[in-house]
Amino acid sequence: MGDKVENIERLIDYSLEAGKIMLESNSEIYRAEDIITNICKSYGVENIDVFTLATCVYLTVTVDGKTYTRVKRIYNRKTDLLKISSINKLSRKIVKECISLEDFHDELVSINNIKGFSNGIRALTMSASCGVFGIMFMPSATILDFLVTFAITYTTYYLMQFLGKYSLNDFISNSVLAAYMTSLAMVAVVFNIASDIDTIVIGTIMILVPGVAVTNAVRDTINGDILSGTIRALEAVIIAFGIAFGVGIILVLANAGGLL
Amino acid sequence: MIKEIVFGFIACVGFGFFFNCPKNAVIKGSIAGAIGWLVYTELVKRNHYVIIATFIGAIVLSIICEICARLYKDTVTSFALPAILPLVPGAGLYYTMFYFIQRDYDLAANKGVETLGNAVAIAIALLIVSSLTRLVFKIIREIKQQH
Repeated sequence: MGDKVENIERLIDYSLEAGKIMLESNSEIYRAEDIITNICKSYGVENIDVFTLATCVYLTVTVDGKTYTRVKRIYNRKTDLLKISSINKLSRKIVKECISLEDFHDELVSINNIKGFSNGIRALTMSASCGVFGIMFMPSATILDFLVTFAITYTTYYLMQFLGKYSLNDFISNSVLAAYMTSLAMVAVVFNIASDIDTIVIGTIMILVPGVAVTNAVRDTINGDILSGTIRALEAVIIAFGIAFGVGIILVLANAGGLL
Repeated sequence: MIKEIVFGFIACVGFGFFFNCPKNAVIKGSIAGAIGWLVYTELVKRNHYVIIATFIGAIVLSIICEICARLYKDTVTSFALPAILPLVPGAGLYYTMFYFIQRDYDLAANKGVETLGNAVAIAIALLIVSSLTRLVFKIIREIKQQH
């Protein structure tokens, strides 16, 4: 009996850990809930209640008249599609062929340590992509504009990593980054390296734009997780205001200095 | 036209890497994104309203992403998150701020509403497509169970 209780405790811990990884990687709410429920079910637990918000997971299971409850708080979220997809595959595997709890735990640890693409590659492709964005929206852009956008985004990526360590709130970190990018763009235009500030700023701010938050807000809302959908929609609004504030403050300063 | 596809593709690949997409999903998602972007630019070129163009582009790319997710048994978001990004109105956000600071409130309000409209158009397109696919797959499953 004692062995069984211990197993259930471990099962709850591990499945909550799986849910936590999902939510930290910005997965949809229903997917995290589904995965926790499916994992518990395939280990023979019948009575499962899981309630998930974008910031928290609550799990209660009842076995043999005894109730076990856990709450897990989620603090830092960072989009990582590889982790979502790996946990998804792991849960499918567990449903298909019930693996031992030790194996489950090992797999969780290895998924949690997945690095995916290296920082250098991410920074390079992201910069190229932002450079292309400038050209996409401004057909008049020159190759120099592309290069300036590339360089600014490249440094911004590392600044973003640096700020990420201090877990600032979305508004402040996005306005700092947007202000940094706009001021560099301003410098480039003043020194006649780039032709047009619009192209550069439009390209570079794509790295901050809350596309993920909007997409997730919609997906959560249609799945009935209206509360989490609202949280994410609000997150998108806060990020957008942060960007607007950061860009705006530099533009105001430039206007005052007669640069614009 | 080829230019648009290439640009859209590169833009999506960058975001695919940024969000740490599974390796086999990056290319497929980016192709979906490039097609969505192509639809958008072609519609804008033919003088269609920007919000409608965004809407139709988003519909097309999310249909492709839903099909990919079913075919390759992966999460829809792995394909859709990078693919949707070219349509997200970053430029609109910038111009709203720009006109606002120039004290041109008419243009700022204009751009602001358009930006908001674009975001809502993307949201509704995603909503329609994923609700419909879920419905279609439910019906297919029921038909299969009856036989």
